[in-house]
Amino acid sequence: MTDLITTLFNGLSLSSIYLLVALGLAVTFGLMGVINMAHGEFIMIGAYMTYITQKIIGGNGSVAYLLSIPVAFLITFLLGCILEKTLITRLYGRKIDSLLATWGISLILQQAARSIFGSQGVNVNAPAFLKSGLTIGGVTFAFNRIFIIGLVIVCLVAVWLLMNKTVFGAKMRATMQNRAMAQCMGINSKKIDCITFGLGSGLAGVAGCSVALLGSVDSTVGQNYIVYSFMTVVLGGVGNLLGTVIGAMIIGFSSIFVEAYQSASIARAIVLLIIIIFLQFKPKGLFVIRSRSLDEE
Amino acid sequence: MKKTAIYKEKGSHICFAVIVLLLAISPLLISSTSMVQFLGKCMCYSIVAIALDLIWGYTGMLSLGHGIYFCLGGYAMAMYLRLRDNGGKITDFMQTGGLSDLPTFWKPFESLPLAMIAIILVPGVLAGVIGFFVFRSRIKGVYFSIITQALTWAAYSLFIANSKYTGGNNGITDVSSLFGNTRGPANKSNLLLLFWVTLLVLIMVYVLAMFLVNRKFGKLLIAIRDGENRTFFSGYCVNNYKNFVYTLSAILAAIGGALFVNFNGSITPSQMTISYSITMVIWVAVGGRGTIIGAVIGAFFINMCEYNLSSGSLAVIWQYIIGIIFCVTIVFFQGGIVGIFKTQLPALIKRHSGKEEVA
Repeated sequence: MTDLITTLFNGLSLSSIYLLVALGLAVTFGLMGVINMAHGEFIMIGAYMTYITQKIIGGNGSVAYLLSIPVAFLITFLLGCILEKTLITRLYGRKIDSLLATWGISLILQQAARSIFGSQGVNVNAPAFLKSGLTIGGVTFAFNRIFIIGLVIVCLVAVWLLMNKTVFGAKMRATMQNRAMAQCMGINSKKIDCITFGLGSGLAGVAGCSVALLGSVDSTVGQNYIVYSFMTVVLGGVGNLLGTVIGAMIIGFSSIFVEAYQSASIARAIVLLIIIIFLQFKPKGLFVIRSRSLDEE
Repeated sequence: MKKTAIYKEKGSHICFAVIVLLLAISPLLISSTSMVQFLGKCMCYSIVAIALDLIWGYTGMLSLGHGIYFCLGGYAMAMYLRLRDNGGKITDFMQTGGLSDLPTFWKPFESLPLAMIAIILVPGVLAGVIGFFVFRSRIKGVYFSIITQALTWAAYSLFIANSKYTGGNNGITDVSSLFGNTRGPANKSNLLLLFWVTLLVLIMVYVLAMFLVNRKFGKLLIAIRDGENRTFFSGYCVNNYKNFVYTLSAILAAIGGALFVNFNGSITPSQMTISYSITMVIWVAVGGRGTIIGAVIGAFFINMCEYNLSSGSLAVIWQYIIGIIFCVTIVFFQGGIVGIFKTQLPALIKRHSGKEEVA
């Protein structure tokens, strides 16, 4: 029984991490259709922001860590806006080119991280209140895992509220669904694009804060998550938050269950193969937004 | 119209002939063997770039997983060479992994003909199967890229995990070449032989690619790229065409990988990573997608820049340079180097001279 609960908790924890890293992508890729290969590097920037905030503020790290989340969000939000204004805006409608151009950006960002912080990984001190765990009936729930689950729920609710309950969200959805018509209604679609992309990048930054809790941070930390985050969004169905949640849970739980019998690397391969086979039957993911257009992307 | 098309092709043939001629005489003029080896590797990269250009530049499917096929070819060749160098005994990493006998799937690699067949067959069958399923479920565009990327990641994990069969992170190292040892000045004749054989293969691949794209088949590939549904409704079995090109491209990439091992002396899973696969795409993009000669030029151009810049004090900024080159190419020069010379430069000259006439 305790084994089962531990496994389930680990699965939930892994799912929450995948969901957090994929949430930003669900916005940039799912809503806007931009393949941002530099998403992993925004995660990395978020993680380094946690490290810097901790260095500047010092102390036992609790205040610094909590403060680093909005800092990481703001910095990556701004960087995302700059990237959108300078590069992505020239590449709308050329998806494959946007994929490649953002890969170029990711190379530059990785090298920048190596130049500034060195190629050795740096460690973020987990704040004191996350160091222990909660033990119930012989099962230990680590606080940092619970914290990440909480963080992802907060992010998810925030994104959902923003998209569905605010005027900005309505404008955003209108622009993404029918750009020309939205412009006719007086929506500044360029501004919407910029902020939406910034939002997706900002969420990557927040994900970076939680990634920093899990291990040392180096310039390639984002690369470990990029494949999974794309698969999560594709599996769930593009443009659908609920789909992303379920996609992340499928990937997270199946990884944990396969890992119980196989080594981590083989588990990774098996899970990816399962997803690819699954996409045979549902090529557009779990939740499809139906349309009658033939050449939809 | 037709005349200009032939004229443009002539331009790329001449360009390729010049490259081949320069390459053919270069090992005689260059004394450093490492430089000759480097040029040899560039030829292998060119073969891979042509393979990638066929499916991306012409057919519009961006594969982010050609590293798999490059590595499969490379590993097949390296397995044969390792066994030949060892005299058929088991390798170090197998001993470390606790194996006492040669694994069954290594056995065929004791003979050269079987290894050669494996170089073609293994990637070909794998790509055929992957292509069959992927194209059948109508996965295209960026989804194709994401799926191939995930496959690469999966294959990479498998190669790392099964270290007692594949050498894990280190790969298969310290192998000689098909024509014996090529290291050092004493073995230069072996290296020369290898170099010219590779050059011959490059010429053959170029001719094959040109043969394919300059006939109705090539026009169909472009039709698939520009309007897949229209081509489908015109009565062509799009999936078969796509699968054929994908498989052919995988085989060419594997041949490139197999030759690469001869020059490099080792093959590691790092050549299978996503970033290495995208590096291959960078060669094609910078050289000029949709032109076979562009792929060759791009592979040589980027690798020569890297060779000269990534050592010494400029090593730090190399990745900045490649990133910026790549971004600028994608945003402003979609045709790459070939595109600059073929369309952008003539257009500039025309506009310039036009202004002078007005003045």
